[in-house]
Amino acid sequence: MSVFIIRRLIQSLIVVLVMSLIVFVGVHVVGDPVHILISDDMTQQEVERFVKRLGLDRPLYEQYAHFLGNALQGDLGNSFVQAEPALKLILQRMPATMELALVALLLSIFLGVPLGMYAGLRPDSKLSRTIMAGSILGFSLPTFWVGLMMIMVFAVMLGWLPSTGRGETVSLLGVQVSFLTWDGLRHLLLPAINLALFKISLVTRLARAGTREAALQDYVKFARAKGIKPSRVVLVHVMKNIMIPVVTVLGLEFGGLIAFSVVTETVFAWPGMGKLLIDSIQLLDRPVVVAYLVITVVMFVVINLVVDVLYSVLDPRVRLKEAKG
Amino acid sequence: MSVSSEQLESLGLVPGTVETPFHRFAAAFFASRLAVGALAVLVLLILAGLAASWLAPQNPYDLAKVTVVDARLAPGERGSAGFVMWLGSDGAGRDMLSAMLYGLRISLGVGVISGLIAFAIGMTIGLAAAYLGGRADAFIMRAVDIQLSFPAILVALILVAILGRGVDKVVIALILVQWAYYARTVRGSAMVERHKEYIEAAHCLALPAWRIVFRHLLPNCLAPMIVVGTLQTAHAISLEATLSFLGVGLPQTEPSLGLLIANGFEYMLSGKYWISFFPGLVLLATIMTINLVGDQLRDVLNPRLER
Amino acid sequence: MSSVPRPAEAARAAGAGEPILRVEELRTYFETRAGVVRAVDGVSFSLRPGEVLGLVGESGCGKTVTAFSILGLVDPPGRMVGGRVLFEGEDLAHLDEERLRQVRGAGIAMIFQDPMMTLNPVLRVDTQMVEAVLAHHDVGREEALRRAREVLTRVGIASPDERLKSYPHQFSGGMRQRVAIAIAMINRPRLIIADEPTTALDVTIQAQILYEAQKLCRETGTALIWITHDLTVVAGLADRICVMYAGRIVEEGAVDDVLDRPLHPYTHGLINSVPSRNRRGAPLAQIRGMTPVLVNLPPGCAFRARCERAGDACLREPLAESPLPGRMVRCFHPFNTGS
Repeated sequence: MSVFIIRRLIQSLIVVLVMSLIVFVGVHVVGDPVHILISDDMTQQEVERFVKRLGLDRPLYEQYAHFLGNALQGDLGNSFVQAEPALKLILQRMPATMELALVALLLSIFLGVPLGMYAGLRPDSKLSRTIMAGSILGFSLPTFWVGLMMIMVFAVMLGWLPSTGRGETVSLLGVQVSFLTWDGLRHLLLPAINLALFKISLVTRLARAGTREAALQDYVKFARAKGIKPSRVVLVHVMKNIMIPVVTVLGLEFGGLIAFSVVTETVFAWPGMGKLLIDSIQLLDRPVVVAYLVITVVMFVVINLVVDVLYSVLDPRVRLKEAKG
Repeated sequence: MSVSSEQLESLGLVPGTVETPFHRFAAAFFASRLAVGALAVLVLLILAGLAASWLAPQNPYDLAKVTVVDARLAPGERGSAGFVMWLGSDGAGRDMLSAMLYGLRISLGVGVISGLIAFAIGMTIGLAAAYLGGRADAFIMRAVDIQLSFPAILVALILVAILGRGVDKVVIALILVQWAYYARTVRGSAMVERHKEYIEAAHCLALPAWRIVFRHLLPNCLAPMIVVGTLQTAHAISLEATLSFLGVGLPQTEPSLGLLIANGFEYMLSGKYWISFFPGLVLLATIMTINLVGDQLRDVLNPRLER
Repeated sequence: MSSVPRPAEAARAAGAGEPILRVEELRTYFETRAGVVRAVDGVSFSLRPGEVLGLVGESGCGKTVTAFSILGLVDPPGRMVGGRVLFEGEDLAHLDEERLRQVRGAGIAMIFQDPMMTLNPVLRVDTQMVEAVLAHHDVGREEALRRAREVLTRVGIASPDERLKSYPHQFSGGMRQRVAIAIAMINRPRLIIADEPTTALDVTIQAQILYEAQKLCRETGTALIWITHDLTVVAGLADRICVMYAGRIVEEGAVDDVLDRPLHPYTHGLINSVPSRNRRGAPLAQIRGMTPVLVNLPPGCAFRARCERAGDACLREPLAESPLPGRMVRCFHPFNTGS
């Protein structure tokens, strides 16, 4: 099993390198941040010094090598706009994004799996049909529009919940989290549901398909033939089988949640990494954009690796196959 | 010794009407009233978008016709040009209905065009991978898997950060996001078909490779591709809207529905919901009808779970 | 093919007493888009304690559906539409779900055809065996494990502890089927229904499993319904045999009697079509025609289209008759009646 992990690690490293190269080259080829950052009354000399200070006059490969060298030491450049290390800016805002993504993930599991399993076990009931129709609505809804409408209804018209921003935070293990305060929860609710909506639909459909397929399998019939109680048949035999695809998809989708939080953060003015990215793209703040993309890519690769390992733990058939090599 | 018709009858086989595969398909598809309804609405939307210039009471991008005097009128109020703005007007005084019709056209156009091109590219690459097999296949599928392991929005953001703004660049970004889904789907079916005997037979006839791939292999892989095609098109439309909303998609000169919704963002807190609400409704209707049709197509074309 | 030696008297003595299972006019129909499939159409037979019944027929004749119907495991679009299934006095067809659950796995156990599919691939073998015990007996896990170990040894699996901790896919096909047999036996059922348990295995393993199944049933006095399409399997194993065709039982009797003097033309055809060394060089005999599609069967004898002896009488449904003692046949023109 360790061979498996090492192989995956090496693959992941290669992916990270290649992606960082693509991102770096791409971003530096487009746009010219110098023009935004200089003021009209700077002399030519001052401009030159400015450019030199930011290293923008070096050939591209040199800039990349420099970037890579620094990256390995944890320095991903400084923001053009805020004169702070890009990495620091991103890390400051990461907990907010993580919190949002995690809550959305939990919502999708705890709502999606039961709904999907019910729909799979009784596919012809009215409730099941409603669930499935609802799931199509769920993943057709444009997240940003739903967010707007949610603010409209719950904040403006009904006034029940705040419309933007993150609530009060407290420190948990050195990180600022908001779900432990009532005010924090009130601010967290709408954005989390908004972000989770798409995923809940996806998980519901997945769980339903998996349940339907599992329910028709011989081993379920055999379990019933052994006289096993129906509740155990569903909760042990069926569920364990569908958890494998569900967990795999969720693992990958968690990355999607982090990426998609860009939208929710923009709508709800949630102070996370995503909002930072959008602002930086528009301001052509290259180091921050590059840093965000590189960090996200690394996160993805790590998530995929973890999911692969988890999958082999959950599905004993994979373990054996890999052991045989 | 041939079998007599009495014997046939006694076996329960009654020779009668011949059903073509298309008849069976159409019958199965139309069995779902929901899908039929969705298809009807979708067709209406497409026609509305195509006929935007004729249907819209106003050309919202003709600067001469639009005046800020009409700005933020509530739905049902009359504008200065004399016609009723059934869905209200936006911050610049444009009639929402007209803006939406034009926006629908752009949203559909960008989504469908990028989808078709991605379909063609993905299909060719996927078929090539399946047909060539071996290392070429392994390499191509590796690339596909890696791209697919990143969420579409991230890939889109990376591409947009690299390529910049503009209609063509957004289309390119959408194509680059989508091709991998098509490639993987077609390669999957082609791999299964490739080992079947009719392909071997075609080989033995010394048919040229391109002929085997396009005339024999492809038609049998089309079914899942069509399903993926519909669902991906909906996804592309949604993705473009999201990018435009974020301000990194289509430019202001080609406002899709996403951009219209973004324009209404700032008026929301003051209760002028219609500027964002109606375009969103149309966007939702478009995406949802495509998804409903695609869903039914998938149920019909995939006999696996049939009872 | 070896079999446990059984003197004729012992054979007739086995199965004395009241029948433990009596199936009466069982009907299970499937409602499909193409029409109604009468998978089981009026099946009746009975079984005495310790008796081995062979249920023989081609694929698609309804044997498996009969087995599922007995245990109430028919899934939609199939439905049991008529008949009674009397097991130890209770009518399983009209029992409430909980009582039926108690019978399954304890009173009647079943062995399925494909061992690959019947064991849940993501659960360990001990989990799947222990749950079979715990579903019916209020004992602790330790005791359940002990029983599992014991029964695994009885089916000939060495080092049961190791096997218990393994997953199904780590076993060979024959081993998996032994585990399935062990699970069937673990609660000491009075009846085991085995649905083609050796079809998916290769011939040498098949012989072993047959031998062991037989031995176990003799030792424990468990009645056995062995479903198969292979006459040769049934020949050495069963006491009595029921021949099924198109959802109906067309012939029934003691195994030696039926195989030596088949009454129904279908049975006659089946026996003749078994390739035999005695007829080397001669063309293979076959039953002409094809297995009927069970949708919208025409009225009358279902075998009519393929039968050489068919006549006008066969346009009516033949009733069960007993032209010889201990035998049943549904045919207007049976063979070998000696009349």
